[in-house]
Amino acid sequence: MATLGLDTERGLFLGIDFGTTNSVVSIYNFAEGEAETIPIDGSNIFPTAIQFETDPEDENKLSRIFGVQAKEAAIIYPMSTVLSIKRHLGTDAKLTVSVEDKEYQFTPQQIAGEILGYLKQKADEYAQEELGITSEFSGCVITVPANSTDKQKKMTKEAAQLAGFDPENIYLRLEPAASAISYAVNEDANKKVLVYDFGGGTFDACVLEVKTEEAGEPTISIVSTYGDNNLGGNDMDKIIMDIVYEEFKKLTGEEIDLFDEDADDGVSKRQKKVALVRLQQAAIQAKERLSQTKSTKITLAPLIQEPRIVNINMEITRDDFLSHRRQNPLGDSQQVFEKFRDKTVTDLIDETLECVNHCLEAGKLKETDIDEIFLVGGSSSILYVSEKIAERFGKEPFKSKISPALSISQGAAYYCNMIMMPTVRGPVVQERTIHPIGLEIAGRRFMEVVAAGLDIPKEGLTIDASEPLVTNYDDVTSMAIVVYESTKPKTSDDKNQNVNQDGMKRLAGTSLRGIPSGPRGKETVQVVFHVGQDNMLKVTARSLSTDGVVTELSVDELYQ
Amino acid sequence: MNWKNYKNLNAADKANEAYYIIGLDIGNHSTGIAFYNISDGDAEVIDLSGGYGKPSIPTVMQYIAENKEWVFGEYALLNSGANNGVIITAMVERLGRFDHIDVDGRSISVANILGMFIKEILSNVKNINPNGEIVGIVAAIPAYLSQQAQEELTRAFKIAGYEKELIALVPDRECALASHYRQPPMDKELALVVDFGGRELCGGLYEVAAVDGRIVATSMSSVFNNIVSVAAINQEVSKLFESYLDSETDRLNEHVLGFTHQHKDMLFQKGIRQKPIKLYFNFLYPPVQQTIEHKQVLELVFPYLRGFNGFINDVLDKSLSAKPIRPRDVGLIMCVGGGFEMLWARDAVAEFFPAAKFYKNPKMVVTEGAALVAARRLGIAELPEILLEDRHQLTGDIGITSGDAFLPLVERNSFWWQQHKPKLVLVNEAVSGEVSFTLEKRNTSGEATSIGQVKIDGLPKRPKGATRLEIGVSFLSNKEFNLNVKDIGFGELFPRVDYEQVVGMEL
Repeated sequence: MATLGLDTERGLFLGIDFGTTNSVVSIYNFAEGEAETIPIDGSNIFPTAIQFETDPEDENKLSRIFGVQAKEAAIIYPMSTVLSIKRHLGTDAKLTVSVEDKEYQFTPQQIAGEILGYLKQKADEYAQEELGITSEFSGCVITVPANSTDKQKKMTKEAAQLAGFDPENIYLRLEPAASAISYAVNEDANKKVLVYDFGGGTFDACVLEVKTEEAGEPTISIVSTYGDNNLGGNDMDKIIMDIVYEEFKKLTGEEIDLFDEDADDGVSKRQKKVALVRLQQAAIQAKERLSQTKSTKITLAPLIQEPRIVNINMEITRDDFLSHRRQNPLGDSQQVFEKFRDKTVTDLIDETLECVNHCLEAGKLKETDIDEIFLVGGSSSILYVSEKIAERFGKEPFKSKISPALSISQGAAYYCNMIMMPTVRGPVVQERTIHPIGLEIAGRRFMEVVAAGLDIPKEGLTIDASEPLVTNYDDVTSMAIVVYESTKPKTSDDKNQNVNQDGMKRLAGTSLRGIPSGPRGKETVQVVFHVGQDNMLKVTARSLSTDGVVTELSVDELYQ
Repeated sequence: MNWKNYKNLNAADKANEAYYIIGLDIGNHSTGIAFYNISDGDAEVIDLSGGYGKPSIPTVMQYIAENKEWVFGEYALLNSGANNGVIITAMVERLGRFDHIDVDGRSISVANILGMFIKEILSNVKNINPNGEIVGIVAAIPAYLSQQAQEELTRAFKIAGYEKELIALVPDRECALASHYRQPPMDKELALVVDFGGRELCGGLYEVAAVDGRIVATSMSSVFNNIVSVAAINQEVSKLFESYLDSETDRLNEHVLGFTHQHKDMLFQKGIRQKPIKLYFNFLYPPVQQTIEHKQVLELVFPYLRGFNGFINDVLDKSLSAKPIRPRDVGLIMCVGGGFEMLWARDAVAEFFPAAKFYKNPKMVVTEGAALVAARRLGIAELPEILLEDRHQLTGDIGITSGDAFLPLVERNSFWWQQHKPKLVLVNEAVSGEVSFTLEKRNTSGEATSIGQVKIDGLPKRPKGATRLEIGVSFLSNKEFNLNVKDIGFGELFPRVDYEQVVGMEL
């Protein structure tokens, strides 16, 4: 039985890859000196799904079913099942779940919290029974896409808190960085690695620098990241769904709209939901089969039964899959659909390569600077991805020796090790500033305070704004302090960047109130940025006059 | 680079991260691959399953005639039911019989198909490192693999293009012990290896001792049970699932095969003890929902559990030890094979041996051990050599020599305690009461040594070619056996007489 030499004050931490389609949890096993994935319900891969049903012992209560059972129940019980909750994190809309004609409403973080809570419970049981640890997981490292919004991050943290993790011990880390750590952990050569992470719902590119010293552990630092939070394997599933839906439209003379629940076309709301879940699951299976075979069959006989039977029985080739242009919104909002209208799978892969371009530019790197390319995420197993990468970089990409599906979670477990046992040997992640951060100044201009690529020392990085802010009008008593992050690399035409240009992300804002009244330009305000290793940014603004006032604002999860 | 050239490189050249030293465990049911990580000095498993998160993949090939293409592993099973492909399973146990399979009108040997499978598996090394080059392979083989089967397996490696990289076929038990014993034990200890695999439950006790820096593992008992196997349990699960389906869906059996592969694990994990599980047969329309309770699973495994317990008793009882072996005499218990992913099997062992060691990936222990054996043989890993002294397994054929011909009565690699099927012998001379012949033992190179002259008398008088005898061998220990001779007559003219003679022999 393994014995974990834990820092009991910090408690036990769980590494969680909370994915759109599947989730994986891992722990750092000190006895073995490696990350270990915890099987949940007999499998390392846990479908991120929940189904509600009436509690058999109390009809006024709901009981919950998770994982595979919930995912597969979606075909029979689409109204009481929630899939892909991660796509709802960051939105305020409540989700409605119907169980036996009763409706219940949940916030996205409540649903995500239920699922994370189940993962925690199963991991606690595993730790007790298999590893002989008596304490529970009190903390966690949850991975998030590289370009998550503040709201997504905040709601992910809230969900983890609802799941029972200690609010002080919930850490978020970048998905591509986590997967790269699982890859680089045994590296013994200096190199720059591009991580190409094409997951179920998101795409991230990330360049890491691995530095090794003699007899030391590798130091890994993130040079640059760039991604698209709305581009993933699910969008490729939709291309197969689109092929099938075109056939469905032909068979029904376009008289039935499966995506409009309220359309008066003789098909019940429930029948439409069931048909869509079946269509989606058939598309996912077909995509997986097409990664090995040249063609596959999709049989949905019948797809709907009333008002008349419509059978789908068609063959889809790999070429159809790669070259079909999407025609239908398939339930996506108009804004999302516009992004994918007329796009093929090859177009989507080309878009990921655009993100790779931005990532390289942000790190001021050329293709030849990259020593190795590392493919992560289920969608990167499409052959066309490897071919394009090889063509672009002139070298074949690497894949993980652990399953690409597990590498993010195991990387999160290495982060857990760094938090739990900061003094033990193991890979070290040298935190660095990734994008420039700065202030909005007069004329909506951007003043850079912290440059990209600076090492963040243990005590944090403190930088004064190069010039103080001054009052622009007579007798003003307050001044807006608004902090921006410039996520897109600066071009040569960008000498004067504006905060409203593409790639600028507003991080936080506050007002410095109580500035002594006086003529324009008399009062000056000094702004200091402090970036911690925990990715927290603290901004302090202080009026420099004798009656000076101070205000502070903070950003919890910088660069995530 | 072939393995001999690699072995001759100097240490600095050997330590190139692009060189891959491979351990392969091609099981009848599933296959695993590991490599020796030179910088870590340890074996590491290569995940073969893609997005499925399991380190091994099913030893299955499928041919899809419509596309004229071969699919292997997980996809070959998951594709079942989605096309009209031919699915080929249980390839390892078919080796040695020179079996051929009809694939779209062509007759293809099992060795050929297994060769394609091996090629696909080994190509994974290129996936993890495009510059990777395989420089040595050790393939773990089960004890039941006959000499002919080993020759066919070697041919499969040749077909895959890895003949020169194949260092050796090594008994899976040696690989299992190699994964544990990185150093010789301080004191002599009794180790039990239980391998619960796709085809059978097998294992034995070994007395492990350090001798001149090497580890000598002397087999004290060796038992197998081919009723209890992962394949048999999968079949039971499939039958259970089929019993829920009142359907005439096209290719139902193949849908159930894929469904069983994906859902079987849910039945044998802890969750079902707390709450019944729900299964959804979504490949049917309308889909069917079924709840399965823990007691149903217990009923399903009950006969296997009985067989399992009998097996453990046999391992302890059928030993060469002069005194009875008690569970507490066993110092190390190694549970390997995918069957140990099922909780009931772990519980069954734990009941006998509370201190049993369960591996995180029981399926992969042999695979990792094979990579370590390969690294040691190539001189890159300083690990002790393990010598398996198996006094239970026959090292040569035992049979009758007549002129240049040799009729084997017991084939090599079989175990003394097995039941050996009697053979029919036609006496090609007139018999007047007495027949004599030489009993010989023939080694793998075909050299024969005499065990003794056998003389049987009291046979009925018969003309040339009209005496047929049934000759069987039954062992009393690993060194003594009886030859049982019976007359079985020759048609209506010379009916069987009540003649039976037993001749005691020693090896």
